[in-house]
Amino acid sequence: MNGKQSKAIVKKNHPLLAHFKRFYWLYVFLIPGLLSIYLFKLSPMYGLQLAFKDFSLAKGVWGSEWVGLEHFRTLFKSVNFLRVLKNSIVTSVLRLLWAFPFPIILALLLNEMKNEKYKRTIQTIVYLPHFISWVIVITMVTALLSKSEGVINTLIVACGGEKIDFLTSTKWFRPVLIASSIWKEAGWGTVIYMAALAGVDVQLYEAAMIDGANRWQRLLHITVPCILGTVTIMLIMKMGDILNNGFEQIWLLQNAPNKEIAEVLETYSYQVGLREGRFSFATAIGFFQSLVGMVMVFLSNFLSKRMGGNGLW
Amino acid sequence: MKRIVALFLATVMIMTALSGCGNTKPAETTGGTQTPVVDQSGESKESDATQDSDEPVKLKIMLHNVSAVPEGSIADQWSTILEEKLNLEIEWILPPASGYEENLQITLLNEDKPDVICFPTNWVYQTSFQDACESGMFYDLSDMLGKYENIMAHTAQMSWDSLDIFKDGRIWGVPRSSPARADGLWLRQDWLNNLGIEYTEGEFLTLDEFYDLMYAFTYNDPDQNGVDDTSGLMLFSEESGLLFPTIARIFHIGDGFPWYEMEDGTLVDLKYSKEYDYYKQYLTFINKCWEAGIVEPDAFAIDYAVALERDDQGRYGIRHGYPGNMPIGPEEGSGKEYVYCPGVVIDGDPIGTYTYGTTSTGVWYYYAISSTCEHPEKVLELFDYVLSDEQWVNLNGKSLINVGFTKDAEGNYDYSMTEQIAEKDKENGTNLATTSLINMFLRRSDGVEFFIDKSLTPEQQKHIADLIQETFDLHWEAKGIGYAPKIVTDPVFIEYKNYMIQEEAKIITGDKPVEYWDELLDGFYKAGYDKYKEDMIAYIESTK
Repeated sequence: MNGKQSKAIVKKNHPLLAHFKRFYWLYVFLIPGLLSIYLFKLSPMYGLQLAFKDFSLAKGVWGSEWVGLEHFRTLFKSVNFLRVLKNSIVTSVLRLLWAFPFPIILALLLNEMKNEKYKRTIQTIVYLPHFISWVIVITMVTALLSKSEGVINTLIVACGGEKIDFLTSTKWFRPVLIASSIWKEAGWGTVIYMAALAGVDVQLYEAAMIDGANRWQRLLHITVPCILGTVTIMLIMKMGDILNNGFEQIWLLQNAPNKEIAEVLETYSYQVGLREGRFSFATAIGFFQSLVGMVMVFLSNFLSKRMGGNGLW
Repeated sequence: MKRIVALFLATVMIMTALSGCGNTKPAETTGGTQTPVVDQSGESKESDATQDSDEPVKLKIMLHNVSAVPEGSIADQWSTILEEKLNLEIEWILPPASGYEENLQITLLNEDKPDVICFPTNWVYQTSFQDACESGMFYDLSDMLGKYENIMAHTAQMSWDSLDIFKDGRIWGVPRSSPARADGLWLRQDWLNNLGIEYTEGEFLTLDEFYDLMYAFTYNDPDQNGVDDTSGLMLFSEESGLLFPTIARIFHIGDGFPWYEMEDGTLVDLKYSKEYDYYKQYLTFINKCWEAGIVEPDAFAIDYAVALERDDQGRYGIRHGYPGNMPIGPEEGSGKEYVYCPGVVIDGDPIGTYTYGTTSTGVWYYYAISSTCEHPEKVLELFDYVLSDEQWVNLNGKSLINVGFTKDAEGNYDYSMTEQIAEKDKENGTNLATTSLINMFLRRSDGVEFFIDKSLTPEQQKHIADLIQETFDLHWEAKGIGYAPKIVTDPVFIEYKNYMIQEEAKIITGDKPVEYWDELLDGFYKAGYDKYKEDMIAYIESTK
């Protein structure tokens, strides 16, 4: 065997090369995704330096002066910081407790429907609110809950009750927030669980039926364990968003009387960043949010694996 | 074949992903610092020596409060006249009015800026704008303006003072100049009639009468429909979260919390003053109204646009307003009719009358010219022409002569042409009758003329002119306009000011007692207001 031949055999047999040669067009399909991640996620990261600089329009991002941790010190010393942080965490936890299980329950209910036509109709109806923008949803919420002309308050008064300040009271802010969030997103949230449910082996149900398991037992002992992996992954992803509450919905529902509990890090950073032109300070807030999110993802992934469940990696 | 299709699809996806990443205009700046391309005499240095002089100059103008200039509309035809006269090609950039300021912040960061940008008045105090001016992002117009006679003749000196933002003689924009005024209230005349309440136009109300009127408009079924669906006063939340100052004005607080010189010569901002308790009086009164349910109960949750919609539906008995905009006579269909009240006076008030000031004296929006604009002289030429006698007929008529209205030799206006266009708009779902561009672009500062609806009869015009004159007379001149002490950019100061807005809301809604305001004031002084006050007084004294 001469050298040329052996080189050719090595080249031919190299598993990585062979793999790329066989699947290269699949990798070509990866390029748009990777490019989009690079363009919209990685490349803007150079802007993170603003959190450590005193940004000036005159000097630009690179020319602005370094101020170290000054903006973080200002953030942590701010009269609003602890309140805003607490609001962000409480709102997120409430969302996890109420809004996270809702799509799972809805998916399980939809999965139990036997009439396919009816099931699809219901699915379409519950998906629809997802495509309505928050601006419209909040306009609807305002029209429903307005103290002066809202339908709900009109009903309450007709039943002999007193009008409730749904839109401006601190007591009602979170229930309204969570309820509107569930109404808008629960249906759409079922998509991923419906996909997971479709992957459950039908033979498991058949075997359970032969063994005499009723519907509830099949749900509890087959369906739920089978989608638990998906639920765990979704939960870990949600944990990464522990300080992200979504901007639009809260911003639109927020007003001076309920701001004490309505202001979260996103709205705060928008208020002090975009509206008051303090870009560095707003970047510092965003950076802090991302750091906490990252820690939460690692932590929940670790805990999930420690408890014998699935992890993201 | 499959692979070819796959490769094709992948290429399409890549191209889609990359679309929009391009920059259609070559970068003209480096490091965020921009250099004007004209010398300070206003003469353009031709960037392209071969430019054909017949070729129209392209201008991009970003406007506030103009939602559309549909092709073929009255506004569009006016725009075409300007273009033809001055050999321009104007592109109107019209961001939505809500969120305009956020749009501005982003525009300042963007390299591809419009040639002309309209700023709300309060931006003369904004750090971003000041920073942008210092960085050379906008032209200093001070040496260019002199030769534009119409701009100089029809702009109040105080407007130029406000746009001298560094107080060093440099001017950073062309103002939509405006006389300062103290607006009063529009009362529902038809509701007054229904309730048998007598009121003569032009009379001041006392605080008690004002309260009783709001009460009657809320609870005595003024529209006589048998349903509890009315509210005494239109009230809504401003972008800052504060309530619109309809009631605060009664207590002389003013718009934007101006500084006043009191009779004894002391300088004071009545909102944050510890020496005068007008703000606490305001908080006490508004809390009383809030708890009685006689002002819009959703005031904190709605903005001006929603409040206006509700007003259109006939919800409010009283609203703030300027006599120049007040509809005259009963509205067709609804029978809604207004009467103008110049204001509310407080019994025993040493100031003695309804009066307030504003920090935006003399400027009601202004235009800054980007340093990337290659022909700033054409922009100034455009402004000068719009303010000329030739165009004054259109500005004054707030439409386009012989297209939207006609004017006879006696000076009578006829708007039947606009009415016909509006009728067709209704049928076709178009918006060709729109004239908001003409109304919002620029105006002359001199006198009441501009503000009078020309479709009124001469007697009605005279009546409205008198009411407008009264708003000018009632205005309390503010001091130190356009000056902001350095502390306003201090994060602790800003944070506390924001915090006060939410805490103030608690006083209004009754969750905290009015005395809580003293506690908030103490905190604010500690957060830097004492320094602010000291600097502001020193500055005002220095200008005397």
